[in-house]
Amino acid sequence: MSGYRIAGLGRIDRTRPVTFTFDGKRYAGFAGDTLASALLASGVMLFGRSFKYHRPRGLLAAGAEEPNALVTVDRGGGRFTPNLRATGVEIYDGLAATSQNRWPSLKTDVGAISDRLGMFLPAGFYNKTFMWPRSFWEKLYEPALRRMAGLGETPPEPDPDRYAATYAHCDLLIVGGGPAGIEAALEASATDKRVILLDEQEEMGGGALGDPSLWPWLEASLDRLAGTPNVALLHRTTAFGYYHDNFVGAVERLTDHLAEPGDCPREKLWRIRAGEVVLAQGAIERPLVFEGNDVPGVMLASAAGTFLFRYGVAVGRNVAVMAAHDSGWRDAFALAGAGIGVAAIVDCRDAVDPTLVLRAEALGITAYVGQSVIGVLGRQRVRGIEVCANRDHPGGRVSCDALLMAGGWTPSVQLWSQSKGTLTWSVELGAYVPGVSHERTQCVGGCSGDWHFGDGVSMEAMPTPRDPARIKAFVDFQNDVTAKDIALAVREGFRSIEHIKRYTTNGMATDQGKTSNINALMLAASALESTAPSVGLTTFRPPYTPQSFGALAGHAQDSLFQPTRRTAIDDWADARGAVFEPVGHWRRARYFPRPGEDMAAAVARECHAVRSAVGVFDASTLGKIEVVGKDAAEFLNRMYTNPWKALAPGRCRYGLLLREDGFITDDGVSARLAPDRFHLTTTTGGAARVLHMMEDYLQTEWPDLEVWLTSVTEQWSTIALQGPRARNVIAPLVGGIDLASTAFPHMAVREGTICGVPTRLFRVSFTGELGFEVNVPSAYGRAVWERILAEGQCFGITPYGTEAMHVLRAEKGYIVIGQDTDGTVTPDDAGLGWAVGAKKTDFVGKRSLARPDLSAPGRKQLVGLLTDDPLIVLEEGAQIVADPRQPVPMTMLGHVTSAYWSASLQRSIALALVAGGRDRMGHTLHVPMPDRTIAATVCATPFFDPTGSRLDG
Amino acid sequence: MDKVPARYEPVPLAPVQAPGVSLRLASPQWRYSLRARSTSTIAALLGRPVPDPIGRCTDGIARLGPDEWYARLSTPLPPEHGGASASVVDISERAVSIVVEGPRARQVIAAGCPLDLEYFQPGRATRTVFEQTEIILMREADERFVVDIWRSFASYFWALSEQAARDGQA
Amino acid sequence: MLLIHCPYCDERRPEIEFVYAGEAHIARPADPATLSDEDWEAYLFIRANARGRHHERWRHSHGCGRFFNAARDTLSDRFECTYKAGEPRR
Repeated sequence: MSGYRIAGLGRIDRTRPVTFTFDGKRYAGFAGDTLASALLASGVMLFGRSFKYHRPRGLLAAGAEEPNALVTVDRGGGRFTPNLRATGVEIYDGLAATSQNRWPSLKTDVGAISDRLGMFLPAGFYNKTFMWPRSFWEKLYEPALRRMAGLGETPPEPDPDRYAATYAHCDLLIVGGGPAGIEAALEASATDKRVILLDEQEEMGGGALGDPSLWPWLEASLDRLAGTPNVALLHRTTAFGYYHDNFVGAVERLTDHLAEPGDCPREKLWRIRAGEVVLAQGAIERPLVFEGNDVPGVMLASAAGTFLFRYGVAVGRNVAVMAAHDSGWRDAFALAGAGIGVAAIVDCRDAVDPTLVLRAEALGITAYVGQSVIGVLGRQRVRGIEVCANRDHPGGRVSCDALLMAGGWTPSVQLWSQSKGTLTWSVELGAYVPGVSHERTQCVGGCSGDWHFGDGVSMEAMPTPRDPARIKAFVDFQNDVTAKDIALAVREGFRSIEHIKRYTTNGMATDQGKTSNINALMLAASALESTAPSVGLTTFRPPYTPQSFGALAGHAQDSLFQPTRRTAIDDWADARGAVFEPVGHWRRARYFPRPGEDMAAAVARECHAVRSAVGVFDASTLGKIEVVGKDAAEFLNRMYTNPWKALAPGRCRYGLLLREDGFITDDGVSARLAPDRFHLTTTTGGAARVLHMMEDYLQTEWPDLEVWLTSVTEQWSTIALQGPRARNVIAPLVGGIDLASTAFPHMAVREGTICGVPTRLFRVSFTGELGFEVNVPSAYGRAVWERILAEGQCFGITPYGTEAMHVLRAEKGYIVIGQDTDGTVTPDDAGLGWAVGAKKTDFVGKRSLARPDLSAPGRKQLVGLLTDDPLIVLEEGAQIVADPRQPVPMTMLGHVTSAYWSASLQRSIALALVAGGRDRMGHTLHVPMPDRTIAATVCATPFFDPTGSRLDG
Repeated sequence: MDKVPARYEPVPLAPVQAPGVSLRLASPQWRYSLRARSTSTIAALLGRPVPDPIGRCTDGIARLGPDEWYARLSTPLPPEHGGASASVVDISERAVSIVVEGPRARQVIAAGCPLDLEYFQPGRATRTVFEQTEIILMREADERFVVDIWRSFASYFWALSEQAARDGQA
Repeated sequence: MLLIHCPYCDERRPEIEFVYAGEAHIARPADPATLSDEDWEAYLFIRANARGRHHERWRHSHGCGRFFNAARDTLSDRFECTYKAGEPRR
């Protein structure tokens, strides 16, 4: 293999070679490699182009914090994932990864011109430059900028994968499987606690995986944990969010590392509730800020160690180190010990631990103490560095093929901070460390600031003799934010770190500033002539690392996106070719087209059948509440606007329900089955809301009333039979009920049987025709429906859907709550003043009806509207004006709430809410539309059979 | 009068058998919502003891709330309730019962139910949620849960728990 | 997702089983007709919107179905206590 792979080092399995492609070119690696380590082993340094300047970029890190090496993995068939960190992509045979943000190729990228124009692209550039002219923004600037900028592409096809989800509970959740996390698990394994230990990598071990001296301990510890039944280990699992009461969201990746994903969910969402959480997320090494710190080959010193000792890959043959921390020296020594040439250790500190210097001398490494790197030679890879003493600036060059940065360590406090734990600035560490916890949680190991890497200093940027305004020293690699951008933001008056963040976009990319936040903070503090703790820190929010939408959606995908409620008759309607519409979570048959029929023709035929013979309608979705108890009538009397106490058993009443603010919220026909038992109906969409509202009054305002409410919506299938032949159809099927008009009048209820099953039979009408609503236990709804249809064949029985139902009710002027009302309509506004019990002293909403604004003249009132041209059907929602010639903006009088073609009347009809509507009877109003203005005349309702002569058939 | 027509069920009559867990529709039952202000009222009404702690279930009768019991019975209650200060509502066909059984039953329930099932031992019953639907969850045995779910939501529960049963094998 | 102690079930249960139901201890006037418009407005619309300790109503809607009261800190989101409807303010 390539000269970058080092024999005898690493945890990769050299007996299992793996081949894959990157940008179409074939490469080889071994099982256990990441895309990053395998490419590095093949001598690849260039991984991507930067976000704004399209600068060539290589690896900065070896783990989840990697900002530069973002790749797209396309597995074909819609399995397309952008913005994956190459350091986290496990290779498998056939993996096809591509670099991002470059055109036409990674090596030759025309967008790189923006790097040369860099001085014209400062922070806030977009906001300042592309403001004028406004119309150019949408058509020109934004599309062009979006093509140039942006990270990765959106998957073009639907995701074919399935995602699993589960809840899990434990006494102790440990996030992070490094040495500190494993120690915590070992300690807990001796107890009877339920423990979950999760880690984002394929192997537990964290930093120990890059330190061969710890491998025997690691193996022994993991063996012990594997034999402990109360400890569950989750690999490839990222805890991405920390929520209230120790609720932690995590995603387990199940198939992304497999050559053949098979019929398996791709990822699994873990919703974990933990008694106690231990965060052992470690610390992230900090880059240093100097010109050229983004050239491919400049990376974190710890990353070089990880690549060498975990993956057996040298990041260079002759490396240099730029250190502000002892850990850089130790990494250099380790590399040298493994045979890697170390050309120089540059340390910006004036003095360092003499033992380090002696050790460097012993290894033949030149140390440049009190000096800094001020430039990097090479564009697509490091060829050398420029070094300069901090005080007197005599420059010098050192040849090397990689530069390792050791800028100190930043504890990974993201989840801690999400849990509302406080952060404290540690002067000693130059970092924020966990302070006071809010949840039952603690940090251990690196993320608590507890590490043993030696000492260091925190530097906002390396000293340089060059003009800071003319150099690009990167702070946020992913969003291309430089040190001078932050200085500029401060010069322009930004003071809050939250504002500086948003103006410069520092920390706002997919890595959320894992490597940049502290450097940006120190630069801002320096520019503000303040200190880091007084400048503060931006807020950490989920997710810790980017997660797929699929995983977050979990089960809620495709047909399981949300429950689709279906009635017992839904299958029948489906088989008959019904067209459905969603109503709340229900789907309801809208119309039943015959071959060759469009909606208008089907609805006209269905309406005609109801008016001339008989139609049958699935009304099962209507909400139903059984109200039982000795105070049932008293309770309903307090809830509804009209009187209920005198309603005789066996009779029905239309009930109008207001909110306490006086506006209509629901309606429905309800029946008294017995002195202490009512069968209420509500609108389909209002069922749950009405029950909740009634429970509220019953439990909290009138707990003295002896009444209980039970939802029986789904106990009963409701089949509406409407039309002059309705009685003929059910007569042979009904047992124990006298159907004669005199014995069973309109607005009555009877209990008996139909087709041999119990029924609550209502005589009600929402069409103006003779009508029955047959309630049967839901298990029998389908069978009774089919028997009714069979029985009605000789009468021309016709199933009709919600659209015909709407036309028929509109012809009668019956309102639909939520369509003809909108939460600001009183009973009087809706023309339902008759349904308000004038003698009642109180009911829910009554006091509000007496508020001056609810009885003021000029309120919008529901009226009929007939277009002057009877063939034009108005659009629902269209606005209404008195004078269409008035200047824009016009005074709008109201809007059309319902509009249909009425087959019975052979013309269009409409309902509208119009200011002072009832005083405008006979007036012509106008409905301005984009293409024309439609004249219409205000009229009374009903449009059809105003005397109600048809109710008895 | 014709014979009683056929029942219609919202989920398949054939059970789902996955390794370690099965799903099946339970036989039809008489279900009642029983409401009263005291346990003794319900006990007197039924002529037998009923569970007193909320969340307990014995002999098919669960106490779901301070004034609410849920009965699943093999025979119907008589229609007259003797003027007791109580509410008896027949909800036999409001829901179906789906039995989730086997060593992995708990795992399938946990796929969508946020309760800690370690503390939901046999004999417990409660109203709760399963992803986006409300259910009544009863644990009859260590490895047998019964989920009562309103009919219109049953196909959602069935499809989701079937997927969870299959996915868990991975 | 919070854990909320239901005073009826006497268990801490997941927030997803509950619905929030507004400020607590606002009783419907016994005889609304006797209230002035201002008093009725105050009953209907005027709420404390506390920053800090707040008394509020919740309903264990996907559990025992009961409304109950809680004292919660709106800054930390933490529940101090929950208690049954009808019990005095805590």
